[in-house]
Amino acid sequence: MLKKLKDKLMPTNTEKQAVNLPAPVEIDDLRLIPMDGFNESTRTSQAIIWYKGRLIVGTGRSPLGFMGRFTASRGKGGLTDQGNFGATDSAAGARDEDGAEVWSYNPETDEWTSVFKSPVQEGVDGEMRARDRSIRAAYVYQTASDTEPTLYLGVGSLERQVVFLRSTDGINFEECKEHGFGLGDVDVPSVRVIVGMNGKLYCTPTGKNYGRGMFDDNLTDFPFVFETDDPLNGHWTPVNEQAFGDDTNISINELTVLNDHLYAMTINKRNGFQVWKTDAKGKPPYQWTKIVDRGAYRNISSFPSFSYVFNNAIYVGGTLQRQGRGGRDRFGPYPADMIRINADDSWDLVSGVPRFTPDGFKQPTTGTFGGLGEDFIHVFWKAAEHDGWLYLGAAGWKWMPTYLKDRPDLSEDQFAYLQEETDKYVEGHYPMWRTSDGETWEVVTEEGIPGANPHNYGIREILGTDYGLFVVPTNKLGANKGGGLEIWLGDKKKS
Amino acid sequence: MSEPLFILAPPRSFTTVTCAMLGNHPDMFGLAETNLFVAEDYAKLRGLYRARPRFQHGLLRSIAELGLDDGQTEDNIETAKLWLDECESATTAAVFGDLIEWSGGKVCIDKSPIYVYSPRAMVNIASGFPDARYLHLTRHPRETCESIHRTRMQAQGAGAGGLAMGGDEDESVNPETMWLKPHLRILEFLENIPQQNKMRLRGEDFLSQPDVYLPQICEWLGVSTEDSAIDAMKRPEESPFAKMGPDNAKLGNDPSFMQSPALRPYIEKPSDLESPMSWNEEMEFDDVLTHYAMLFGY
Repeated sequence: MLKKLKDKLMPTNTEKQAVNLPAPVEIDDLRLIPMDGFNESTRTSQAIIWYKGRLIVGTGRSPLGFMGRFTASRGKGGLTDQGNFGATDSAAGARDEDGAEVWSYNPETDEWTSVFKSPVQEGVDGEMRARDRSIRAAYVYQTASDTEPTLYLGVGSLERQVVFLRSTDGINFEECKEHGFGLGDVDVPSVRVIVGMNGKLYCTPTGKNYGRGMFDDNLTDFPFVFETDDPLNGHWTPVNEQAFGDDTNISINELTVLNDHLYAMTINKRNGFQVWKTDAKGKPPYQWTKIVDRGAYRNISSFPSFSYVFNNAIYVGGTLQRQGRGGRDRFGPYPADMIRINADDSWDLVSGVPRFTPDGFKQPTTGTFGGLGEDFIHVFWKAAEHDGWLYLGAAGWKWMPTYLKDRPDLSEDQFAYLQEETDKYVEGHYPMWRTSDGETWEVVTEEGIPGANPHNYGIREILGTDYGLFVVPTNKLGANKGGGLEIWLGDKKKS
Repeated sequence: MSEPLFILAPPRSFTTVTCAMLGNHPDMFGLAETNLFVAEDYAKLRGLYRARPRFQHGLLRSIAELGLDDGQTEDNIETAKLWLDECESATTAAVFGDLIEWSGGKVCIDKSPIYVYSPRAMVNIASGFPDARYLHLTRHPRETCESIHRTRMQAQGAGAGGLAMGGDEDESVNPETMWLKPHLRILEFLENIPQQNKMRLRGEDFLSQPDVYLPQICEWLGVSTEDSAIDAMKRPEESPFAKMGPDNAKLGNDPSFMQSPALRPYIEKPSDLESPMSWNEEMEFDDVLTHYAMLFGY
């Protein structure tokens, strides 16, 4: 339950942040990178990465009308169970011919180079439209088949199957073989994360284009982790028992690597997300061990929203994916959880409601009971290290008051409190935090980025590089509707 | 004086055995069902006792046990009645405060089931003890309802009036009234309680792994987690209320617990949220109840 009152905080670790680190990036250090040439339907980026001295930016387009995405209307039951969600005007959507793009940015010259555009193909309805919706994953790794560290991108499709792109210079890209993990004629449109270990790439299918509404972008019929040591030719092999032998795991949403072990995190709407670990040795399927269960025992934390390795531990966001508005997705959101998985498989609660667990009494190390103290922060979205500091971006739901419709789960007091606070929403406000020790979290901003587009509602990408800290807010609208993608760069040393 | 602990849960949610176990900690004391806080003062409470005399048994037994030499004897129960008569103008919180004082300042635990049927009772607790702690105990809705239904049928078969709730409405009709509404009252009440003073626990987890959860509860309450204390808590049969009281105050605790108070190995039964209730195929859990069941880990 959300708190009506601001509770007294539990004792916090008051150790000072590390003093020998470079000064952190402050919000006022960020400057907007001039951007030109992106297609007008561009709304966000879900994949940025540093490669050979340049920033590689994969873009995501806004849907074909927020509620009118072509494929959604083919779903069983159409959108009848989806309720109202954001803009319902199909005119808010983007042009059919605009798809995902990849751009390369040279920070020395401020120059952008277009390096990939989605092909335009005949859609399943006979109309021409972009094949690719969004670049959803990016990773640099040298597999056993590569001669050098190679850039891999996972490209989500509007109507078809996920495509992997490969590049050794960041300029020229080739499509890898075996779209859709080589699974045949199945609905596998996207991925969410790629990682590398032991000379292999690891990835997991995400999303469905058919047989569901538009909001199930993180579900799949194939809850497997796949590996390949030859991404160019595909050869993807599943390395776990389907859904880890638990049919309530409906997708594998996050992957990360720590100390030569692969960690996979499931979406589980029924019981809360799970975290599994393997050394990936021997022949697949590998031996996996479950190290976190039941959404870290906040059972409604169904969705691992981010994972990131920092100071020899994995930070994981837990949230309720309130997408669908029907059945068990009807309630929420709740303040987001964050846990820290240590190298010895123990875990700490960083932010969230205290809980008794089979792993001991977990009290939040930050003294905050979810959302790092902000009731309306329902998702921690992205974390990245820069100069020894871990930066964390998030999104809240105050801008979506439709979440307050039809809420028999809320008491009158709670409802009134949430409505009152929602009414106070200021366009363009969202938070970012930083920490050097994982214990003390400092607010970088609670009010978004000064001067940024007011339709931004959260921070979707953060990337620390030798050149500075890149911060990418996400926008409700495409550029054609007054929104669009912004990329901000902050470097204390250079400002 | 230590702040008291209140166990809040619908009936048939393992509150009795939990109270007896926690109460066996050397720094805690598990009371019988005092039902004190259904009224602000003892004069009003006495009205309830007149209508339902057995509701007084737990308080009388607690007073006798804590406040009088020789504990729960028939004479001491009569003495306790006399003492209560002198409390006519006292608040119920003041009476509860006396129990804490007589316990030697231990963490006194009250698990009176009637509180979850009376939002006013929980307000009275918070008013009298602003820093009280609350353990919100849960049990699978199906198991809770089946247990309540069985108890009710047995009571009717024995010619009694069923599970007496004491609320303003008939609470023993369906899963919504048996399980959901009491939990909603608890949740709404706890909304305004500081986080550090409230915890939720699945009763099934607690009973199936007491060695895992007892130390955590002690840690939360700030009492010793030494092995001797944990071992003591695994002997609920040593509670002074683990048996029937004297003839003039026999009840005041769950009769089935008093008949068989020892801790038994507990294995959680697989249970679902989808099937209809065993006694009525038309009766299923709705969306809201299912949501809360999942929120609690079922």
